[in-house]
Amino acid sequence: MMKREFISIIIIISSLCAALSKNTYAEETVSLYGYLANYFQGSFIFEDNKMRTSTWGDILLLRLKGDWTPEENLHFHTEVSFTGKLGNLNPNVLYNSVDLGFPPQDQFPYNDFINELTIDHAWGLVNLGSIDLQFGKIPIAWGTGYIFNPTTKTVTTSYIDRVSEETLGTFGIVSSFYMGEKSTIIAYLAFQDRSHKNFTTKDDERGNNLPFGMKTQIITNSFDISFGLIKEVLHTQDGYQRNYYLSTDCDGGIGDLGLYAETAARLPVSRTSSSGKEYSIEENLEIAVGGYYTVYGIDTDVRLEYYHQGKGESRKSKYDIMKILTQEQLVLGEDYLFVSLERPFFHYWKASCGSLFNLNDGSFVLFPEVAYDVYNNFQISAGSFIFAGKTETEFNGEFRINGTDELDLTETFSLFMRGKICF
Amino acid sequence: MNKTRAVYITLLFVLLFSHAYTDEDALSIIRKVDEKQWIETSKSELSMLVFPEAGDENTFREFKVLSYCRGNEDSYMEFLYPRTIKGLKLLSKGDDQWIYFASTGRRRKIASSLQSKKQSVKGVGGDFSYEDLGNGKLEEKYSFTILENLKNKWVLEGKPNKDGSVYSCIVVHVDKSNYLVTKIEYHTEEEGHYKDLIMEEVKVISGKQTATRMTMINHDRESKTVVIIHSAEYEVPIDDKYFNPTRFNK
Repeated sequence: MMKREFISIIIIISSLCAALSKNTYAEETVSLYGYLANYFQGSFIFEDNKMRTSTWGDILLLRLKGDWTPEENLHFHTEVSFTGKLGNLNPNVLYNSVDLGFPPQDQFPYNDFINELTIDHAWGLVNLGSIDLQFGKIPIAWGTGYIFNPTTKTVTTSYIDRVSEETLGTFGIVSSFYMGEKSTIIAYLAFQDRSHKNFTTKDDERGNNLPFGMKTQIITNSFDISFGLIKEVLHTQDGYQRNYYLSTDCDGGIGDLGLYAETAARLPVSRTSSSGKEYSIEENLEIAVGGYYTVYGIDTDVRLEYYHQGKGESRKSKYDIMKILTQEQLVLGEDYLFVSLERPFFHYWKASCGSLFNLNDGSFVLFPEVAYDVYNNFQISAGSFIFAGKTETEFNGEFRINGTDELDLTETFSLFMRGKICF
Repeated sequence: MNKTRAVYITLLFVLLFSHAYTDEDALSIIRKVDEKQWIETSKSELSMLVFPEAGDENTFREFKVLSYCRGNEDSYMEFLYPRTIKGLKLLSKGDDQWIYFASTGRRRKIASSLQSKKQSVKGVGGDFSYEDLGNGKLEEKYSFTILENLKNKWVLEGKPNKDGSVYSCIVVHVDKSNYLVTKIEYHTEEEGHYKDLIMEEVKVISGKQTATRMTMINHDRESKTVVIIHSAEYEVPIDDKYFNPTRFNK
C-alpha cells in the first residue's frame, strides 16, 4: 500500500512538472557585438584674425554588447564601455586650468582620470504575459526629441561627449503593462539620482531621494501620444534637489512632414534650495518641438527642432557656467533652434551640416561633417565645429569662474576626424 | 435583314460580355495569386544586397534581416548585419510604421504620407521603400485588368484603389502554371516606369512555393537591390509582442 501511494505521488509530481514546463523553453541564443571608435580633434583659438593658440584632444571608445535569451520569456543584455579621454576632450584637463575648488588630481594616486572601464548597461527582461519587467542598469530613454529630451530625467548629457550614442544606464526597475496594442502604461523606479555621482553621501538612503516616472502611451492613427508624471532627483553642489513634472509626448506626422513634441512642466510642489521664487509656468516649462522633411528633388533631409528651457537664462549676465560643468544643464540659455541638413551623394558618402542657435544671445555653433562607409562595418568621418558669438555669449565659450579665472569651453574652431569599426 | 441585325446584336453582346468576362478573369487571377501568397504567419531569414549601380556586381552592401509576418497586414523586421545597425527594428501594421534605433534606445513613428512611404529604410537605403516592405493583398490595393494573355503567363495592370499609394499603377506578370508572380513593374506619375521587381528561384519551403530571390531594379537611379531568402517557416506561432507598436522593440 505504501509503495503504491509513493508511486502515485511520483506520477502526479512528474505530470505537474511536465505540464508546467510545457512550451517554456525555446532555443537559447547568444549574441556578442560592439564597436571601436576613435575621435580626434584639433582646436584653434583665433584673435584679430590670427591664431592665438591650438589644443588637441582624443577619445577612444570600445563598446562591447551582449544579448542572451536563455529561454522564451527571458532576455539579458549587457554593455561594457572602455573610454580613454586625452587632451582637450578630457574634462579634467579643462578643470586644471581654473580653480573650481576641487583637490588636485595628484592627491588621488589610485584614481585614473584618463581611462574608464564601466559596465554601462546590465539588465534582465522578464515577459509575464501582458506585463514586462526589466531590472538592472537600464537606459531609460524617454521622449522623441532629437537633440533635447525634456522627459528624460534619469541621466544628464555631457556637452563634451562627441563619441558615444548610447543613453547611460541607470540603476532601477522598469515595468510595462500592455493593454492590447493601442495603449501601454510604463513606470520606472530608479535607485540613483540624475547626476550618477560616483561617491556616496549620508542622504543617499533617504526614501524621498528615489526618482520615479510613470506614463500612459496611446497609439492613434496619426500620432502616438503619451502623458505622465516624473519625479527628478538631482544631486548638486547644494545637495539633493527634487522636482516633479507633468510630461507629454507625441510623435507622428501630417502629410509629408514628420512632427514631434515633448514637454515637461515642473509642478509648484518641489523642494529645492533655491525655492521661494514665485511660480511661473513659462519658467518651469521645458518643451522640444520639431519636424523633419525630405526634399525629394534634391534628396536632402531637413530637420528643425525648437527648444525652450524655462529654467535657462535669457540674459547672458546671468549665465552660470557651473551648471554646465556639473552637468546639471546641457545648455545655459532659454530658447534654442536646431537646424540640420543631410544628403547622401556618390555611393556611401553622406554630407551633413547641423547648427544650434541660442535665440537669446545670438550666438551659434555650426558642425558640418562628411562621412564615408568604407565597408559594411567601417565608417570614417571628418568635420568641424565652428563657434561664434559676441563676448560673454554662450557659444563664444569664454566664461569667468569665481570672478577671476577665465575658462574657454569652446575654442573658436575645431577640426575632427572619427573612425568607427563595428564587429 | 433580320438575320444581319441578329448577327450584329450577337457580336455586340459578345464584345460587351467578353470585356466583363476578361475583368472577372483578372480578378479571379489576382485572387488566386493572393491566395497563393497568403500566410497566417511566417518567419524568415534573408539577405538584402544593395547595388548602387545595377551594372556593377562588385560594389554592394549586404544586410541580413530577420522577418516575422502575420497575415498580410503586420510585419516585423530586425536587422542583424551589418553590425552598425544591428538591432534596428521596423514594424509595419497596415499603413502605420514604427522604427526602433537600438543604439539610442528610442522608438519613432514614421510619417505615413505618400512621399515618406516612397523612401527607403533610414540607415539601410536600397530600392525597397517603406511601402514595398509593407503588406496587404493585391486585390485590396489595386483594381486589375488583363493587358496580355500569353501562352505561359498573364500580364495584368493594376490601378490603386486608394489615394495613399506611392505608385500610379503596377503591371503584374503571373505564371499560369502556378499563379506565382514573376515580375511587377511599378509606375509613378513623376518617374514613369520607376522600378521592376523580379521574382526568381522558386523553391518549395515548408510546403509552400516561394520565390527565394527577388531583385528590385530602380530605373530612375539605375540601381538595384537583391533579396535572398535563406530560410522560412510558415504557419508557426509568433508572439504577439513583435506586432505591438509599444512592445516590438523589447
